[in-house]
Amino acid sequence: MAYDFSPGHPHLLESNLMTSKELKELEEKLIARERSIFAAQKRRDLPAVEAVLAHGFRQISGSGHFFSKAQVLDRLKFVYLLDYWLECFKLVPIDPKCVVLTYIIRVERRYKGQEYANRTYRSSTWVERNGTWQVIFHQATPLEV
Amino acid sequence: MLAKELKALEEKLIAKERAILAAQKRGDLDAVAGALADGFHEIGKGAKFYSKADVIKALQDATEIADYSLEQFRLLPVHARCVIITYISTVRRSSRGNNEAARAYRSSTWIEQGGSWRMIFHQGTPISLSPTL
Repeated sequence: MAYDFSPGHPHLLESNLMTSKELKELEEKLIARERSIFAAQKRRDLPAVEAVLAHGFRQISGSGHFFSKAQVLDRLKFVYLLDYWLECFKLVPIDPKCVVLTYIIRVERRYKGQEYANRTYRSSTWVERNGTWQVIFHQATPLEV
Repeated sequence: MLAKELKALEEKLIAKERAILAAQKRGDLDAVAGALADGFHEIGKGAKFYSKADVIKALQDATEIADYSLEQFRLLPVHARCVIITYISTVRRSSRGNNEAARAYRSSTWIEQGGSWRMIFHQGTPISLSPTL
């Protein structure tokens, strides 16, 4: 079955058709890339994290604060990801070059010598630019307040 | 997209964003539904995943909005037919004596479909006073 990204106007945008098989393959690829971002954070490979973030990347943190790409990368120097668990992945298709991946994550982190643990509902907006998928936007909402 | 076109798009989408809240305040859920794309989803209140139908149902049951303000709009272009708008909302609901305003940092993803812009994804995060992790 073809997934039509443009309800009402399929005849105008035939290139916007993506089959459910293609969508499933894209979902699996982006879930693997999403996991690799946290794996890179855990082993403190910040260049690998930076490479996945698109130019212009921004983030709204779980405390409801806005961070630029430079601010996010700077903060990662001081935050140690000790462990993490990802679950409940869902893909929201936007168009053939953009999807939102949502999931729940539990993280254990250390910051300034103190350990923190929390669960948040996350979304990553992935965009394909020059053949490469990168994250352009990320937001977290706490599950337990 | 030229800077001038981007500025015009930003103003148009900010107006649409405000129109959605205005429609919620006056209880015009058809206008809200009309602004949302068919495949719309939201990470909303209580960090739950909502479909378009879930959101409209939740709005039918929601307490009336007494007052609201939107500020600090920023536009993030994704590509020619997709942009993300972020902003801070302050919403006061008229529930039984509890007149506290809820502040949240929000994002809306807008796409152009068949010549009109609709919201396809939305997420809100309550703003906490401790800006830690």
